[in-house]
Amino acid sequence: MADKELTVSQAFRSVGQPLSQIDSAGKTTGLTQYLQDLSVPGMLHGSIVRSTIPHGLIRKIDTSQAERLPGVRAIITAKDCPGVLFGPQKPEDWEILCQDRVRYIGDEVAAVAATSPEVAKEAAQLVRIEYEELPAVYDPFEAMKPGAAVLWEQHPDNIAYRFFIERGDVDEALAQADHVFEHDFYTGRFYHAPMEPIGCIVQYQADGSYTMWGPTHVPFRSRMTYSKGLGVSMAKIRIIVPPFGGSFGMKYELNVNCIAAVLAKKCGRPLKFFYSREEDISAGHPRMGLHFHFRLGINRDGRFVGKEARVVGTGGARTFWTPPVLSTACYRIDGLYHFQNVRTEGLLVYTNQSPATCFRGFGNAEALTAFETFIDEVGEKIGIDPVQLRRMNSVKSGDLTLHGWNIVSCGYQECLDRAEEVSGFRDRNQPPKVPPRRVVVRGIGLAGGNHISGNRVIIDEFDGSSAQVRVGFDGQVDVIVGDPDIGQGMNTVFAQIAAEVLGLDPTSVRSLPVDTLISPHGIGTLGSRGTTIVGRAVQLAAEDARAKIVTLAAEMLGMEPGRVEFQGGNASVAKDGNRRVSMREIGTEYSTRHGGAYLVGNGDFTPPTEFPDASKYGNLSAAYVFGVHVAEVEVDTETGAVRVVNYWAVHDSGTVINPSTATGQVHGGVAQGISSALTEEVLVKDGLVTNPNFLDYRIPGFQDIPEMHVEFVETQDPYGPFGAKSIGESSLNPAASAVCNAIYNAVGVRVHQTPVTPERLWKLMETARQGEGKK
Amino acid sequence: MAEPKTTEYVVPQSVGEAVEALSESPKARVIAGGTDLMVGMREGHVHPTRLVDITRIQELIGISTQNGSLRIGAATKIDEILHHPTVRSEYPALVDAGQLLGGWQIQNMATLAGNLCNASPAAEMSGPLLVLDAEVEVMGPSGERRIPLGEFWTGPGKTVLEPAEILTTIVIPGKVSGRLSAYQRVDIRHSVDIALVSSAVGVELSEGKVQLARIALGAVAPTVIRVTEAEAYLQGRTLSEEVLDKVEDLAEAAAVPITDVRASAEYRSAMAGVLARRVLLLAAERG
Repeated sequence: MADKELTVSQAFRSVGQPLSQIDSAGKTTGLTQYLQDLSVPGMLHGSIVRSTIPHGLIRKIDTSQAERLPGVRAIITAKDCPGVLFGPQKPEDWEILCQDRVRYIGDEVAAVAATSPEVAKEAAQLVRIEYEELPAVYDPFEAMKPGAAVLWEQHPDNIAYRFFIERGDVDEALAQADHVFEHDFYTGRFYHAPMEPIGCIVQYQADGSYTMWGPTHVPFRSRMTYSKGLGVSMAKIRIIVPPFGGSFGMKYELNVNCIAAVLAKKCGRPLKFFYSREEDISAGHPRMGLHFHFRLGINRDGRFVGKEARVVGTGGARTFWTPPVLSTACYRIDGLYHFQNVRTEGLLVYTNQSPATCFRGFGNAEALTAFETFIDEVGEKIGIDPVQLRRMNSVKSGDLTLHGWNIVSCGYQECLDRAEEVSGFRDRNQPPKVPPRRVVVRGIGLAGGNHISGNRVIIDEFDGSSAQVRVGFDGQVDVIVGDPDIGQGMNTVFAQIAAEVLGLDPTSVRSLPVDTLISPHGIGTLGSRGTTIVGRAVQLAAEDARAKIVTLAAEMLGMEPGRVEFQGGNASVAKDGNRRVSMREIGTEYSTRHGGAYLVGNGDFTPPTEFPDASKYGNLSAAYVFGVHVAEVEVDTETGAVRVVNYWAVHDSGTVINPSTATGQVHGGVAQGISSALTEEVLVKDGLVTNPNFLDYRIPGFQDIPEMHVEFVETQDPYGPFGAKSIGESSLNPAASAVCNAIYNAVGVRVHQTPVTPERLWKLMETARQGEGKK
Repeated sequence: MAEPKTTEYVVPQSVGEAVEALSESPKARVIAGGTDLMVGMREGHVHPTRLVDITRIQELIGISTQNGSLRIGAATKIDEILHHPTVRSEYPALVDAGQLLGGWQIQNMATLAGNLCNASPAAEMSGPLLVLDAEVEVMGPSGERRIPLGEFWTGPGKTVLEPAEILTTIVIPGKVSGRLSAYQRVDIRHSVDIALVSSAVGVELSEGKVQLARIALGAVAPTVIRVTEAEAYLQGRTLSEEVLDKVEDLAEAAAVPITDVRASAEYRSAMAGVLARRVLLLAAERG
């Protein structure tokens, strides 16, 4: 950090350039072909017959009326499916179609193939299902009580997964602490709201294989999951990933691919499923609701001495990616602050709702929402500025944390300093004792956060990535990876990395789409690993290609390899620079000599992470990232309406490869964070989603999101390409708590639940006023 | 599924043709902007056998003034109303409401008559028109009639329109001055949203004293309602804190809301009072 003035990016030509995403022209002109734009000759359309009750036994399925509808080609039920339990995580509790029991409104009972989406939908409504209803349970605490309805006999307590971690002696630490504070917080069920709902196209081939088109973060891992469900080998499943219409964690493995596969095989025709918005919200897979309970021991000087936590997740009826999300919610924050002694229990609970899955932030956004509001309150209670409290207790560069995480670089302190400075947070007013009446008041709030760049523990197999950088006969340079761009701009960053190494214009480099038949095996785009781990593999592949190019160019130019340098897309020579060979000439020469072969550079990178031991000790991630957000809000003290009017975000993401796309990530993360704090919640009443549309499920519009001031504090980290770390998830993580803290600063009431809708804040303010009236 | 497989679409050129087209098909529906109807059809709530598009009937398009009254044709788009100079200068409550109706795209398509005929208790334009003592002209198989807007709605989604009747014109008679009028709503999202509670107020002042007051509340009853108790109470009074407090109480008492996915009855009642007071002040300040 000492040579910070000499910014790294100045030495670069391509890295550090604020390029637009290389595919933005297609996306802005409508030429990009998303899944919904694609069709395969002979394609039929599918519709899922979903349970209309929250819990019950299937007594009879009558498809006769649906079969008679003109245009219907096939109908499948569980008897057409292999019948094995499978899934992306343990416990494996997916069925392609429900065998004898439904467990949520929307559970998948049968599926129809027809000549149009309309006929398919109509036929689906004609399938008659007789149920024997069972008692249902929706609240996780109710579900854990003896006598509650049981969703899975294997789990009589309804606990799908239990997480436990303990270091040091928490009981002793809390007993000795000068103060012990407690805090409860609930973060609501939150829908990803990608512009493109869930969908897929599946074609069954004569050789017994399936070709699947559809966005997924994890195409290779999807093959593993689907191959078990369908009872075929991984090699029999080919997944082609089209451009993403958004995901934010929703599109990992999706059972609809298996439903489509069984149906496509039965009718011998390719098949498309595409969810309606209502289906996507109500039967899809949102972020789970999480209940947090913290006990924090803290000394008079502000030092944390111990933390006990319990985290309870409302997982829904089946298990998607919720177990690692719950784990992350339990202990990721231990990599932001030194708690010294910790004990955390996490419980993932089955309930009769649609299965939840991961969401950008992966549990840590929720935990930070809960904890960063807690710190704010604790600081106030013991009379230490909450920013100072964060400074005192946070990790720093070079620290080894309680759980064995190597914090190689950490710019958290710089983020705190800079955020305080640019936002004017230091000059804030004191919150009022009682919410004032009939005014609109302003308040300002600050919150911090951390995240990872790759997560060793969520994929058993490995943590690395590989890439190829190849030059063709035509001189075109392509980057090939197995981890798909999910819309966030990874392919642009990869092009910039390869262009940097090869001295090219980054817009001339292509990053190829992921196709499991052709691309290298990638563990996927998750855990904010793309730029750091895949990007490093791209850098190494480009360096490998460069070495081969240098050898060839030196030979073509008749000089020493050491004198070859790269400039403007050409390999040229240092001393007599008028002699040059272009990338085109190099590609042609190589290809001509080798029977048309590409000049290929290979790279692979496995970060120095450790799979945690039984006590969950071990370095999880290639690099850790940090950020601090400050929100300024206006609160209408009569209605409870909150408007965010100013926003500052300062992030440590290491070297920023592309300031434009990185800033875009922060803009999107903050927008999602603000609306997770204020408006967005999937409302469920007796198992039924009551707001499955964009009128009553309120994603933000332009008027809800303020202008944002985004800055980066660039640290140096050894593992990512050119020192880069992640930004995708850390951009969201502190946002909701910054808004909640700003609300407190404005009106003097603490919120313990998100979203803080106008009505919820109105009730809190009314309660505070009544409490004051009684004094 | 006894529902029709297809929906016929007809484009009459006159009100007479439109009435005839509606008479011929028992489950026919008028379509203008379609911003409510198309959503309802897609969601399967309504299944018209025939759509009668009235947007090509010239006599139903546009805004005119006649002997101090303002006449707005049924097929006039919200956006056109928003930009009409007379509306802008004389009826600011209509501008307040029109700007909140959906988003720009909706305002470009939706019509004033459609907003009224959809009969949502949360409809943006209903309150402002109610406080202006607006009336609607209706044409049907048995001729023309004129209905005070206060008698037009009978419940959520329900009006007094007979089968094959068409709302042709909205008339603002000009008996109530709209200059001091305003509309606001409580909502959750600042972009496109729907009112949790809304209020429209029209007031006439003379030397600070209320000569005439009209207060309407939306989304707190089966139809948009008037708060006549508060209107009567305001007569002859100045807008002191005490008077405003009383108006707030009367408006809260007049609200008979339900609890639904958008808000609780308790919150809606409280907001009815808050809004009535707030919008009354806003209207008065426009003087």
